[in-house]
Amino acid sequence: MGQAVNLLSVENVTRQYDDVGGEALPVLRGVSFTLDAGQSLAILGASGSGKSTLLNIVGGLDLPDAGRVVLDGHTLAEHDAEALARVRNEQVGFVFQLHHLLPQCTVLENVLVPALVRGRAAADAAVARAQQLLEQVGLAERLSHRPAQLSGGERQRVAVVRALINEPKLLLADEPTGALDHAHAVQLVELLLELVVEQNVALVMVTHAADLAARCDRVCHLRGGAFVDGAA
Amino acid sequence: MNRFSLMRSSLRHYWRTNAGVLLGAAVASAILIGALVVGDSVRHRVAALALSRVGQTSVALHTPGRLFRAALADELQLDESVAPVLMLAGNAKHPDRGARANGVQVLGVDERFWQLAPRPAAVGVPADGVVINGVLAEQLGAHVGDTVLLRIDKPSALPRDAALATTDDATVAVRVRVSRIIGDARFGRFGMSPTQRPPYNAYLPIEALGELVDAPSRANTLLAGGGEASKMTIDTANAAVAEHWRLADAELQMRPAPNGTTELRSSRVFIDPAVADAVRDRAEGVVTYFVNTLQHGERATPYSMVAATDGDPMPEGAPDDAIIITDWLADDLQVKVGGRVTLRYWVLGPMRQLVERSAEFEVVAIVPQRDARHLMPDLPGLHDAGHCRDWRPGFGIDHDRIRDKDEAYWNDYRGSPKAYIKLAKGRELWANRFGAETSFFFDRADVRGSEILAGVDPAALGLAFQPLRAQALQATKRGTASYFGYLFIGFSFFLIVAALLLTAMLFVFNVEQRAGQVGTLLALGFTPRRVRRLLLGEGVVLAGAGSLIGVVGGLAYTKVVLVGLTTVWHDAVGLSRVQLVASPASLVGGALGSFVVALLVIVWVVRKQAAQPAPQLMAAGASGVDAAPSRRALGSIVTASVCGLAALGLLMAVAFTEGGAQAGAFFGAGAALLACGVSRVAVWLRRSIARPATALNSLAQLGWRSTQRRVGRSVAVVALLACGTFLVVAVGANRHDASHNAYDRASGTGGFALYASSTLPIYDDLRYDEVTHHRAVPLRVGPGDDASCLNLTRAGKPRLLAVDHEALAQRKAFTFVDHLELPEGAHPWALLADGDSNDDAVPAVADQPTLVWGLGKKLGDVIGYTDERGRTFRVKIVGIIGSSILQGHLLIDERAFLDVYPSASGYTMFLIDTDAPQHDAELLSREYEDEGLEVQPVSRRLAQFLAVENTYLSIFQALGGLGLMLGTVGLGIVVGRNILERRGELALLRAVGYTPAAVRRLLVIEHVWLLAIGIAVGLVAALVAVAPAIRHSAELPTGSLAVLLASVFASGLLFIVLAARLALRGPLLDALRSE
Repeated sequence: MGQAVNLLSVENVTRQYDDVGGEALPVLRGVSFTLDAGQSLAILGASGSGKSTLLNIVGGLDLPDAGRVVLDGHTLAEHDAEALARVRNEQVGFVFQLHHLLPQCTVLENVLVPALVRGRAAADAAVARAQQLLEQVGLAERLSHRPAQLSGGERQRVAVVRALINEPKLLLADEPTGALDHAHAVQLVELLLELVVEQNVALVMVTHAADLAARCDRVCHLRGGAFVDGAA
Repeated sequence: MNRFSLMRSSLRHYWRTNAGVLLGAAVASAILIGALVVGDSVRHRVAALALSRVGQTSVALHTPGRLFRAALADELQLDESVAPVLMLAGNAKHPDRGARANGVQVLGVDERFWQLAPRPAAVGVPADGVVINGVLAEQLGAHVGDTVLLRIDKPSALPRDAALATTDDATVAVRVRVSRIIGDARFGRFGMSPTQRPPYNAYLPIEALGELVDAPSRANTLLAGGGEASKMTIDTANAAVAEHWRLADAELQMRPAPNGTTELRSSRVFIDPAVADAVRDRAEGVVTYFVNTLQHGERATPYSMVAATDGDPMPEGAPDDAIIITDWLADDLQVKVGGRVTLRYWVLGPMRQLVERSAEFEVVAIVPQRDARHLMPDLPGLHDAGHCRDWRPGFGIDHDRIRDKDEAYWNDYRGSPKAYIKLAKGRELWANRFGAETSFFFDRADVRGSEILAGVDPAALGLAFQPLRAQALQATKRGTASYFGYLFIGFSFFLIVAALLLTAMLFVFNVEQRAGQVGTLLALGFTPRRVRRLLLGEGVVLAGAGSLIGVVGGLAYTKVVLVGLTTVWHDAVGLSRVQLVASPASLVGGALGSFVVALLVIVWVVRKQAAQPAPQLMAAGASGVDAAPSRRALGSIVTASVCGLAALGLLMAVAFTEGGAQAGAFFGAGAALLACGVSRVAVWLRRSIARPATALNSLAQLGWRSTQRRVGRSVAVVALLACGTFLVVAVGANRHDASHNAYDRASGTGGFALYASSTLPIYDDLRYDEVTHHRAVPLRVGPGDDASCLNLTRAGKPRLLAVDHEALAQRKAFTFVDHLELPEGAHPWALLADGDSNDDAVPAVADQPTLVWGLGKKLGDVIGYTDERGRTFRVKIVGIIGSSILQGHLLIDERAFLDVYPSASGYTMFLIDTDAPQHDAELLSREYEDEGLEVQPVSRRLAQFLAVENTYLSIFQALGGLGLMLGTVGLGIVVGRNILERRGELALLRAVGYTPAAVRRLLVIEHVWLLAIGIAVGLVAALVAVAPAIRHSAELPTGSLAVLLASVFASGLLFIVLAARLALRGPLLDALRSE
């Protein structure tokens, strides 16, 4: 019987940027962790600790200088740009601090935006799922509303549904509650965790808030570009 | 840190957008200044040409059709130079090369003429040589030493149109060697008509020319002046003429007559009415006329003179039909006192056709035949003939009718009258437009010429000076040249608007970009006024710097335009060389004008932005969509509905209108449709965003949805492109093709096949060809200036064309676009004869371009003229025809024309109907080669006029096209701005799996929608607007318009793609960061 393969495996990831003077500025120093479907991981850290960089690398938006990210058995760095885009579209869902909803589109349309990448048929097929997910997050009555007509919490819920529309395996949330008050922040995290279980996806959530992080299955602290508590 | 340093650092920090604003203002300024400087340059050139045309001349006396003594020039004793000129029409041919030039001014001059040149210098013309000007040399391909053949109109004292005049020997040909070719500085451009187009001039010694045309020592023109410093006035010059002229200058002679009397007669045969009026109460008038037949019963006496007089032998109280005959005639006719005698004689009918009339008289006395040959006027071809068989008058003589006894009578008595009738009866029968009497007899021998001339105004005989120099300068100040700059601003209008819109757009973006900063300043306690002043200060710097850059740019732009005007757009001004001349007024005015306009645009933007409350400004861009779409949609719905209804109403009105009103209805409908279309697009976009939509399922749909994001911005782009397309297409469709419907009577060709013009008058109507049965409508060309669009100077008195109105009415030639009230069933051409019964003005018809552009007049307006006898008369516009081959003239009826210009002889313009145009053109050109008849298809003639209009349209289209291109730059800027505002969203799209290519495609699709809609709305509206033009007289230049619109589309696409690429450059994913 072979060893079980993790859904997500981040192995010794290193990333550095050049600072203004041309000096190398390390942001991530050998970060490693694994995650399976249905699990949630919260990453805590101060501003500039490398949280968002780590999340971008995990989601295929950025590439590590060293180390690798393996998602569903495939190393992301081995993909070309187009394949990476396909991976992001089909296997990864993103939720950001700013919702980045398209103001000209309705709630339903915003949710369908990722589905458009796969063509008309896929978009049509996604409508029912979108409606079902929106109903699930309490926005059944808001399908034809525009983002400007929603509250901050509602917008973030739309962003969450958008992240899930293509049935991703991995959900990445970059400070998703940063723009919400505490009550709404708690509600959103609860919703995310519910959906993780229900949709059987893995969740990596970056946050400042320890109490919200504590609701996840695991919590890691990132400091100076490395997990202070070792590999997660 | 103070306000200025804050402003300075803001200008520096936002240098990219500021550079754009600066560039937009500079482009608008450059185009405005450029247009004004183009006007300066053209005006300066035309004024320079006008001065080179008149040289040092201040005043000129020009009497075409009359001759006076060349010596009069010296006798006037004016303080300034006076030069006599014998100015005749002619044509030239290079016998070796075969090249011809029609419409040549053959000028008999002496050294005094050259002293009046722009740069006075002696130009000796050898007695057997000719000096020609550059354009004539070029036309003939002639060089110094070459021989050229000149055919010259021979002046005739007796107007050739007179019933008894001859048209034989009307021209004379001479071979002369070119001794010199002169340019403008040496008076190569001399001419009497104000036009920028140089005439063909050939200069001969005045004596030699006079000998050649049997008018030795005669002239028909006097030039006087002393250049700019001249103090010569027409009053001084005319007073000198009145003081010093002699009988010979009035073409009069006095000679002793029998019984101690003195006879006054004229080489013009008939004594001018002005002279007759002056002497009638002091002298006995006589009219002696040539009669074809004197008949009594079966007996007839051919070709005799009959005198009408109240003196000897006519007794007082004789009845009106009394005739006294000589015994020679009584014997020949076998008639006695109380018998009836019929006189048959020629009079001049319409179209210079001789019509035989008759009158019956009762013989009241028979007197002995006497020698009264002095009563016979000097009829060319008759009076000096040795024998009757040598008679060669200007009318048909049947020499077979002349008997031996007639020959014997001629030998014995010459032209002594065989019969006498009463003077009143003679006047009734034979008076014509040239006069009524052939002699006056004074009852004494010591009559002096001055005594006779004392009562005659020289002006009544055409001997009047005109202020040539002042008229020339005036013409340049009021003609097309004077407002060419403004015309060019009109051509550049859309380009200027596009540049200003670009400026406004960039400044809006600049201010929008800083909305948060403005909000912060307001929150920090700056008053809105202070913030506005801060932004305005930056605007002043940008608009000012833009205007200054525009001065340099404007001069460069002018250079390019002038190259265009002298090459590809040559037809617009007809100038081969135009130097850049910039007046300070144009530079300062243009810079100030563009500065003010740019600043107004900026003020408007600043006021709009700073009027928003601070919190809204600080949160600018949060919603990312235009506010209150539904409320704004209501405004757009109202606008779209009103404009749509207006378009519908105007299209329905088309059914009840015609001509100009119909075209106006169509154009109005098109313009309304344009406004409706743009508003409808706004409604569409706003409704789409306000109403729930079906789910998205394609990128194209997402792109379309994105156009609704900033509806105001999207509508502005659509409106700019739609307006530009509308203007360019609508104006382009007015381009006329002369060959389109050329044979349609209603077209600008009048449906005629050929247009012919001759240098020298032709005395028949070209009715000679029995094979093709062509028919010509001959026209007399009167004095006046060319008022067509080919002339950049304003024609004070447009040239009058005399036409038989019935010939045009029968053919229903040309289309009247407007006319005064008309009797039921009458054709508008009948107005030329009937005119306005309440007005004694001469009715005239003009074509629209002549009236509107050449003269600045309208229907019912009156233009004052001076007739041949120095009297003023009024010409009233009673009808307007569409653009036609008659451009540049006023058409009046031939009878009215001859009333005011009785000396006018022959025809020099012909409109010809024929089924074999090519054959007839060749035939007629050959047949009338001596008269310099130039025959061309009517469509070519029309094309010459249309070329100007079409070139204007080309300029407008080219500059409008540039404006549209600039509009597409604006579109690119909007694209860039939209992308920068939405980098977060676009990064999100990348995050959720959109490839960079897909994001770019999405952006291109979104903005191509706007591009396509803008062009489509403008195109549809324009096609409705110009529907009648396309249907009737014009041909839509589909080729050039398609290329233009395709270029605009391609340019728009290019800028969209470029902007998308530029704006997406850099780490897009940074936009996803929370910070």
